[in-house]
Amino acid sequence: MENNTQKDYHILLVDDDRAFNFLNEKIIEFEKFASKISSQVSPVEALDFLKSTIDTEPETFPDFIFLDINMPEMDGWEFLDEFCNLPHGYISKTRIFILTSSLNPLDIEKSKTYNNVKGFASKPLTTEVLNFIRSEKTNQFIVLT
Amino acid sequence: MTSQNAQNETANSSNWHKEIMQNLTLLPQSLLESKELKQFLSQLDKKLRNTESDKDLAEHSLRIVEIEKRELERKIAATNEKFDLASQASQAGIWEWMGTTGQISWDDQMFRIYGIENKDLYSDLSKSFFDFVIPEDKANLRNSFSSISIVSNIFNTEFRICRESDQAIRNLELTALIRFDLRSTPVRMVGVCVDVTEKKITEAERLQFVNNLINYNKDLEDFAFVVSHRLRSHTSKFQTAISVLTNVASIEKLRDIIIEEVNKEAKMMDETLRDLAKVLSLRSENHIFESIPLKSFVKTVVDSFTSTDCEFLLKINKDLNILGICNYLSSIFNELIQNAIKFQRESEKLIISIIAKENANEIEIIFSDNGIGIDMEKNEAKLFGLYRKFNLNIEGKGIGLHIVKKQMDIMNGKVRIQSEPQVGTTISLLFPKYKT
Repeated sequence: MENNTQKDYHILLVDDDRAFNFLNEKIIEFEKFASKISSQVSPVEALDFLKSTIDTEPETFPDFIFLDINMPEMDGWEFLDEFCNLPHGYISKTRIFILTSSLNPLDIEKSKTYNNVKGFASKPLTTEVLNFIRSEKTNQFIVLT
Repeated sequence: MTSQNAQNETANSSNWHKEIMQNLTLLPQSLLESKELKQFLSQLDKKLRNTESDKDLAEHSLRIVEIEKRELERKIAATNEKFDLASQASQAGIWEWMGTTGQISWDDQMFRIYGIENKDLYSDLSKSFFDFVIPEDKANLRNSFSSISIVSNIFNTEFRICRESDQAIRNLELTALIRFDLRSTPVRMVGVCVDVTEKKITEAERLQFVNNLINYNKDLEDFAFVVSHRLRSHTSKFQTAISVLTNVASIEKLRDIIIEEVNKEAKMMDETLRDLAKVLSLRSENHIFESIPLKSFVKTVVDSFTSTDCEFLLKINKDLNILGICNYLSSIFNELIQNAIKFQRESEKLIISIIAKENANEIEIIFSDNGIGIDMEKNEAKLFGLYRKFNLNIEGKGIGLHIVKKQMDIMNGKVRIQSEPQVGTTISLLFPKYKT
């Protein structure tokens, strides 16, 4: 497509359902949305991953995170709370999108309270969602349900 | 008219006032002819007759007064009767307190409220009034009396008494108007007293009923929400898979993986629907309660797990019975044992202990394991929620404990969980004790 520059994006998928991560990876690959795709099945592991990225190869800190909400051990909100505590220099450019099967309006409102969260999309992840995100309308909170 | 004629007649005329006629016979005949006597008798006759008419008038007036008095009494009696009827109908007793003497007076209804049959035994009501109040409420009641001030001329308080007739604890509500003197000191109180025990009970029942409805509604709402979420997670998986299949799956191997994934998801969706049917049926099933001998019951359930590599320690008194629903109890034990097996620590042999004991009001079944445990601090609030999982990497749908809790609710029981990660989990099932 015309957005060749965006191929340099690093995207992180956080979902406790491995199959979802696998399938979403394939869709993102197909859409050539990012050059690097990582997936984590738990927010705890995702946070560890982010911390070690900062330590070892900080230049690859994710540009996008697709985050599920309902997960055991730690849910998406707790992840966001912890995420905010990471060094500001790294997290400021990261755009987080909630990707969940929830249609709860309260979840949408809550997601708006986090600076890094730029949108709320309900599963499945579609080309439409990716195009929206690609259109770079960063000032607007995207809701796709 | 007779007095006019008297002047022309002799003293022994038979027309004098009867008082004179009676006395004339006592006089000698010679005096009767006297003109002076005649004149005197004439005046006397006149006076007597005047007095007579005054007396008539007075008697007449008296009769009128008597009639009016009777009419007034009749009216008062009617008013009193109305008042008594109203007081009886409203079940309100009437009481009065006089500040000058400190005396309290009650109407009959007040004595009925206090369950006092022989009211002569209670002459000093200002003392008895407090004597009947239950100890816990005495201080409060005294406080409410001592806090009376000119700010409000309405007095209202509630307290409990021990009714004399049957020693029952009754809730009374006292309301009165207060009169103050010029120095703002209360001098008189007149008011009503109502036994509000039944009203309070009904009110509490109504509140309980409303609360139950609210909870039930909330439950249903949560349920609908969780179910829609759960079903959406299945359908979105299908959609994602189909999208990948259409766009990407030119490679044979990838297509197989995706078809396998779709197949797995379809099975999971089927399970979800079955589980939901199970949860829903809990609400509508007919529940047959029976007395269940705990020891033999638990033994039967445990015996079905002999092939698993775990050790059971049972300590249940053979006389112990609980009132419950057989199917539910069996499903609860199965669920707890399966959970313990699923969440056992790899490094240690699984030991499950089931102890039952009788407490003052309950029968407690303590189910403990030495498994991986649950982080209670983090998960306590969502332990019994539908589709809540606490451990990653372990297959679980997060529906088991939800059903256990619902089944215990239906059996009027309680569930308590204590747990420490890497030590184990203890689940207490509490059943109410029924008198046989």
